Amino acid sequence: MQHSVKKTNNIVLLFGVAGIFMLLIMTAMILVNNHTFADKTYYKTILQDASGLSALPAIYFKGLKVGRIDGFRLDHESNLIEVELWVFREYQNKVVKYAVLAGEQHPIFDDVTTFELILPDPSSVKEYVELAPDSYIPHINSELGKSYVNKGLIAQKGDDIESILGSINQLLQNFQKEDNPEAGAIFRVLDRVAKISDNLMVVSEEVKGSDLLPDAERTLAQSQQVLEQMPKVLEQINTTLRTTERLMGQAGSTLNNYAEPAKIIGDVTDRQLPIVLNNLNESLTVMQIMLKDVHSEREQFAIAIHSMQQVLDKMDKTLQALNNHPMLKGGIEKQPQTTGVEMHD
Amino acid sequence: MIKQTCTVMFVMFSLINIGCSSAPEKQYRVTKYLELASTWMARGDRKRQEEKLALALSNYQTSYKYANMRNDLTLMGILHLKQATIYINQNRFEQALVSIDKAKALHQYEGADIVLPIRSVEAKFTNALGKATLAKNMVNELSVEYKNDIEKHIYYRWLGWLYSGENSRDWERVDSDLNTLQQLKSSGTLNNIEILSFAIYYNAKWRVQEQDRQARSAIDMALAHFSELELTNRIKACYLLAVQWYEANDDKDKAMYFSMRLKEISTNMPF
Repeated sequence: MQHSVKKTNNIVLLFGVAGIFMLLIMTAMILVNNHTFADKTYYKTILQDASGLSALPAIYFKGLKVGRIDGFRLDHESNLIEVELWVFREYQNKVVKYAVLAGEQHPIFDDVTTFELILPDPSSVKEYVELAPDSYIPHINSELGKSYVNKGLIAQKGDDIESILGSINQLLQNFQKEDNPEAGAIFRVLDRVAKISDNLMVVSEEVKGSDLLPDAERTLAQSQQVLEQMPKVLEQINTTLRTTERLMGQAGSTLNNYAEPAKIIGDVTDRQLPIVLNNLNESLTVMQIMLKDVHSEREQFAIAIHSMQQVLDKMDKTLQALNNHPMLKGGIEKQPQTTGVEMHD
Repeated sequence: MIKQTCTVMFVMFSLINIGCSSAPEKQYRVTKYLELASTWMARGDRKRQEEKLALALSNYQTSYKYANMRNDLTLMGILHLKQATIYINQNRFEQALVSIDKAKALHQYEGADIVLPIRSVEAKFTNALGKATLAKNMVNELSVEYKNDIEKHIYYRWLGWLYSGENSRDWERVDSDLNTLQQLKSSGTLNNIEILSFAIYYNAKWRVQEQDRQARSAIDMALAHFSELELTNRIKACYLLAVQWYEANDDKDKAMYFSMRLKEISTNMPF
């Protein structure tokens, strides 16, 4: 298959259109996720602190997400934070008179805050009166919120973190009390460690008294015996060396007898062989130099062969990838194999 | 709403992914021996075309060794047959017969798909033994068998003309066959260049023999073709044809010039 220009254009167009399409879908999804199209009612509140508000936290009512902080700004006169928030239209009837917002900081990441909408206690309020849009919902820690709590309109719920801290404190106090069954556990552990070290001392004493040390002494005695044998061994080596010297002397006299082999061969072959041998010698010298050159370059050869193999390997993979490509499939034609016997001769 | 959007997104991504990827086609076939066998066979083919027959034979034997290691029956059969053709060219008929029999055995006992190639080499063998008419009939049958393979169809028709040794030829047919082969070559679909070489050479040779008016252009075409293939021995043969042509037409200057070129190219050849 040839790779045509027409096809290339179509492919480029396809990718472009797919990209725009995906962008549109992503944008739509982000907008939907942000409840841009949902029906909302806006309210206001005032907070002491804006920490965590930049994440625009959600507002929950009994665990249900009913709204979200929409924006906030600092009031330069009062140094308070004016917060704008919205609640889904379907939960608008929950925003009633005497309802308050309670902010909760995350126990670990203190910048993430969630808000909870707390309705007034039904026992103390006769009827829920819905608040108009854009009206003010007090925070539970504000003056107005506190006054609602004091009047008993809001049932203050327990602070979770505070209760956990209280429990830990109680636990620590318990550890310190003398009449607690768990009291002094740490000291008991320390006592055990001391006992273990005492035991170690006893074990080392026992090792001293055991047979392990006499064994080592016996080994020393044996090495002494071996050392006593050494002079005999040296004597034997001396004898061997003397024999070797005699052999060397014989080899030397043999070499003297054949000191001029060229002369002998020249006499035997009517003085032709030395010339041939000389030529051969020269050729061999040249060859030796060549081999030496080749030998010195062997590292280079190895590298060259190695890189060649790597290149071929990569090329093979690339070609395979190309052949597997859905659009170029079959793009690389194989050389037609001649399997016939039709010939010109 | 969000769920629906997510579903649409998922489907879109899936479709895009299906469009852009395909299952990897991993090669599980090992083709090391096949490649070696093909390389040696190609070298043998080249040497045969250069008429270095001993070398070609040795290359075919090496190729056969690897084809055998792979147990590629068809390739083994083809290599036996190629060796047989070289034996025929060297007039070693006994060995040629042995090679043909080996190829036949491969077909008979292991079902190698080489029936028509065997018949082709047998026709060549028959012709070499002097039974030209029988050989002609055999290749004409092959031409019919290969009616769907235009290249081989033409080749065996021309081989039939060669074996018959007819004097007057159907030049229109010759021209149309040559045109077909040239077209195949220019479109890159010609499988075996040797078939075109064969046609081009014998076109020139027959036209010189018949003293056809177009002999000169046929020789030029042949020279251009063989120069392109760097087949010096064939270039030499073409010069020989040129010398024959000009000598027959009493053009002594040109005949002398081409004799000189023939001599030059012969002395330059390393064999």
